[in-house]
Amino acid sequence: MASVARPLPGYAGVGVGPPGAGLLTWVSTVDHKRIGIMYVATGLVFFAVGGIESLLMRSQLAQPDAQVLSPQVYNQVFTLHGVTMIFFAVMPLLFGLANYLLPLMIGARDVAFPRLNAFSYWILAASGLFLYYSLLSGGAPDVGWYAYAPLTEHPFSPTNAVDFYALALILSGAGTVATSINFVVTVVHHRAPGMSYNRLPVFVWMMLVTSALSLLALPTLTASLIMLLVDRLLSGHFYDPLGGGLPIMWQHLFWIFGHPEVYILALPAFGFISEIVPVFSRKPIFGYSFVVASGIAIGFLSFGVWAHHMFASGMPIIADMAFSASTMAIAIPTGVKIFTWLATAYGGAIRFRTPMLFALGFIAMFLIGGLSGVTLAVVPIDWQVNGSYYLVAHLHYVAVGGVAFAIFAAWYYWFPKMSGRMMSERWGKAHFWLFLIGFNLTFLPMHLLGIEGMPRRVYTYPAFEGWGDLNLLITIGAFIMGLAVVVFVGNVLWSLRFGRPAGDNPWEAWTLEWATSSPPPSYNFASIPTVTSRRPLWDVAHPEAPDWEHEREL
Amino acid sequence: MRRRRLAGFAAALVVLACWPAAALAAPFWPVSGQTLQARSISWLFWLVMAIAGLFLLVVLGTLLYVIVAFRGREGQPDPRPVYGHLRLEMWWAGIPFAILVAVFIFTVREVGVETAIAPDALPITLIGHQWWWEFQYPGAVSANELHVPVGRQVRLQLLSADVVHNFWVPELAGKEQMVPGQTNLWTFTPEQPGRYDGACAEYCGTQHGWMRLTVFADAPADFDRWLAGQGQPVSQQVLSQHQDALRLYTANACGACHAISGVSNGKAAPDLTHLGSRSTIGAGVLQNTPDNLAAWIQDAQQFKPGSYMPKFRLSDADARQLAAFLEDLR
Ligand code: HEC
Ligand SMILES: [Cu+2]
Repeated sequence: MASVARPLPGYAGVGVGPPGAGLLTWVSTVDHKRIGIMYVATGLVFFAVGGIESLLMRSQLAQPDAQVLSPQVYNQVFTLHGVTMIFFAVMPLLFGLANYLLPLMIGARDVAFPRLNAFSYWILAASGLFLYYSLLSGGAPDVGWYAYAPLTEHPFSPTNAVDFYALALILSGAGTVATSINFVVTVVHHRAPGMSYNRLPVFVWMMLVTSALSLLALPTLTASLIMLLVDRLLSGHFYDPLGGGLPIMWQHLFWIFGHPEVYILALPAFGFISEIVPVFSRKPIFGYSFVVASGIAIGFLSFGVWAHHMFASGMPIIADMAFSASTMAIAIPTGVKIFTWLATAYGGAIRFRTPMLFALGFIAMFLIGGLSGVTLAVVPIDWQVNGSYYLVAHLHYVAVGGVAFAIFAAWYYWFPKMSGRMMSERWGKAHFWLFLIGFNLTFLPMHLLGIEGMPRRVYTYPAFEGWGDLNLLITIGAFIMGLAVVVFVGNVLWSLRFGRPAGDNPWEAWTLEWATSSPPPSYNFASIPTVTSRRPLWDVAHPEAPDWEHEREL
Repeated sequence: MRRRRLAGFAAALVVLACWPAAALAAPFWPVSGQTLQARSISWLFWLVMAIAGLFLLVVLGTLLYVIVAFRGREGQPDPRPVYGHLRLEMWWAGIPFAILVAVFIFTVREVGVETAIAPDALPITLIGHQWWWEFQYPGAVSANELHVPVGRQVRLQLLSADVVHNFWVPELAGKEQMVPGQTNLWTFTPEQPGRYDGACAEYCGTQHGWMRLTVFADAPADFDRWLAGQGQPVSQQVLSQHQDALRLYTANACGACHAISGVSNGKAAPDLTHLGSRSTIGAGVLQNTPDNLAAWIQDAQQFKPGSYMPKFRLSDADARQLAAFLEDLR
């Protein structure tokens, strides 16, 4: 095979794994790779917890008038599920993978501020535990993950649950902001020689945009949560209409954070897919500049669409129209990305390994989520289906069909680098198909339920509406997804011990992380590589047709 | 190998079949509106669905084609790299842009249709409470069951007494939040007499799930009769028939929360002056029958746990007596 991309000679480490394996070496580490692994492990634990919560909800909803969970418990469970999945499962999984990969991909020895990095991780883990500590102190928050005021005010939520919610998010936000600073400085200052912005891997670009979004969006959340705490603990009136406050202001502030947050989750996923699709299609990404530019465009636009969550809140029509237009506009760069991935695979020699299966699954599922998003940008349609199961379907096609599929793709793709061992392909494929089927059984029918009028966040529904059959189908789908995740976790544990040794570059990929050993030594590269193009390892394997000759092509 | 590929295709088929199967499993036309406004939404909905569906088919089709046509063989060398194509990229940003401009124009038009309110529209004030609805008509107050006349536009002023709620009757129009401290407007023009189910569509606390409502679209004459009836106080005859029940009502301080015109004027709970004319109790949680009503009065928490209607230590006989009284309030 002429096309095998060999490691850059001399850049691989001497094959040592991370030094020491004692617990203390983990607790005290400032190595971005170990911190990344701790992030990912933490994210996976919370993913399991959030998943169990979703199965509890589905058990209650499987049939009308069921009594598996009381309304009080159900409301806590759905709130915990949302907060957990967004802030303590998906964020740590994404930021953990980025932590691991970003320095490797740009040929750096670590992030710019390794101790700050450790701080970010520990405060995130602590804030997750803090959220769950509420269970031991009188009950978890039960106000939904976007916690509309004034339900969160003291008269309506007299226990400490909402304080736990606010403090947990303030703390985890501090960690996210610190990580984002770290990422930005690392990318700006620690690129290997020759790694110009024009040669950054797309994933690194997407993390740069994501970090910028986090830096701008999370302080808004923190500020609005502090105002909430002032209301609750110091008898303030920010969101209290009786004291002259404005409940609607919470909605604005929350979504000014909340919508960029959606892209904080989606852009890293786009980055993963933009790395994986080229490698398994054996072609470079199609239209690198377009892909990067559309990511940046999404970043800017994401700050101008927040009120599409509020079409039914009584805004002036002109505001509805403006946010409808901006929301439709953001669909365009998103669509560009999908076309780009298709064009990359087009004419390729596709290798259907597990990472690619998940990447292709991502494209199809995210496409559905994106299109239902466009339908929601059409104000009258939004008036009909927002706040219903249609919205639950839409958001999960984006968050699971999009982000979670991408995380699984990334997991299968980079696991060999992180552990030195391959994941089992057979179990990986079983995981993929079970997950794909379970996912669609769960979330496709939800569109219908929403159109038929089933509101979201109800702990039960009346039998006469005739929603029982679809709900049963959905519950079955959810359990199939649960089974898929069990297969996945089993595969991870099995592969960690018995997986085939991976070698440095098992996928014949082209970015720098594959130039060093698997797992990389603590110093990443024995000597810092010099980068000649967007695909340094391709250039090594193909000196006759190096990539840098094509850098001016879009 | 072949077997496995077949299994893969079978699995893909199952996934694709979910959609139509789910569609067939349930009646699928709730937005086939019963009002001018709902028809406008419905029309736009199917238009956009058609466009999105077509787009979905084209892109998924391309994806499937790519998957089938560009399957790599073992040992196949890497194909010739292609780095991009500016013209193509312009096209696939431009075409969606053009489609979206068209969709936006239709959106603006239909929003105009759905929000226009005629000056002679019937004003009704809706107030969301944790977990029931209050309706104020010119000259009458009611709860949980909204009556509207067929053929006349209604102009709903949406308010909230506590947290954010959301008024949604899918067959009549979209939905609109009820935000405390703010008055939102909403409208629809009922065309078909009938009964339409709705619900609160914004999470509002423990019993959000049972904050449901029913809308009755009545023929104009029926509606006028109903409205005149709701404006009447309780007749002396009924009051004198139910002396014992009235004593229980007072002794248990029902009137601290509930209003019965001429008897009590509590504001924290549904007006009971015409409870007997409603078909459900507890915002839809129970059918309004004497037995259900007695059971509800004894222990509403059993049916609607967490609601603000307390549990009462009433003997069965007392509860039945109260229920009989309330059922007579028509
Ligand atoms: C602490 C205030 C309070 C007191 C006292 C109270 N109720 Fe209620 N009641 C409520 C509330 C609040 C509701 C609405 C419950 C819901 O649907 O969530 C309600 C609902 C009802 C309903 C159903 C109304 C409807 O339209 O669906 C009836 C009937 C009723 N109460 C009867 C009584 C009787 C009889 C008493 C006295 C024995 C009583 N209530 C005492 C607060 C109270
Ligand atoms: Cu409500």
